[in-house]
Amino acid sequence: MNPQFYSFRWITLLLSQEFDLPDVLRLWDALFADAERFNLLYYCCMAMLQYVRSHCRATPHCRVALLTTRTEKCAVA
Amino acid sequence: MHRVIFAGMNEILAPIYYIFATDPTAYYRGTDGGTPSVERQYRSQSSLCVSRGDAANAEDDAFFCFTNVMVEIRDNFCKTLDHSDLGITATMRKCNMILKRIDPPLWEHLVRRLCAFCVARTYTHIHGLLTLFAAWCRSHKE
Repeated sequence: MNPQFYSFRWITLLLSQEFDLPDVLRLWDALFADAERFNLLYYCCMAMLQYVRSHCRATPHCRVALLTTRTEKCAVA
Repeated sequence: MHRVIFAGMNEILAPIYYIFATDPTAYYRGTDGGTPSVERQYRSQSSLCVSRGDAANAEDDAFFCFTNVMVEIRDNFCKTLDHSDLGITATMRKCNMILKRIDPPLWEHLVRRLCAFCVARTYTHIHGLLTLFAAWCRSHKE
């Protein structure tokens, strides 16, 4: 098992599954504006992990993957 | 030229198409009966005109943008590159290294917890994880 799995869907689908459509559009606007694609994407993933950090640390192991593959909907500022 | 559709590509196309199809300018949607897109002009000239519904220009434009996006991210979808320096595994490793650098405790926690998580069986279906349930169920029905 590869422990890097949490970011698989985030990266392949450019986070399009993790947020509501208006938020995805806002996010993609920033992603594609980044000349060095897709560095911003990786840091967005990090931000999402930070967002669920406290949950992650308190969650039993079987739930962590679920948490990270279906992060709570959080509004993109 | 390989014409292959991988699970999850539709999720990339959807937001792009939405943007064009909901454009406030009818011209860009192709619904005003005005100047058609280049492709439509070509089609009608070659008498292969296919009657399409509303948002015809939006479809053309969305496809153009979609292919351009795919040029940049196609390596992530390519199974043969999974274990090379270009594939998704390398990208995930890069992401993981960033996490290790900025938040070592969380990184260690994730590695330990996720290692314990029995995803080993889904590893063979790594690309099935994309649209977590929908695509996976579909492919297993076939």
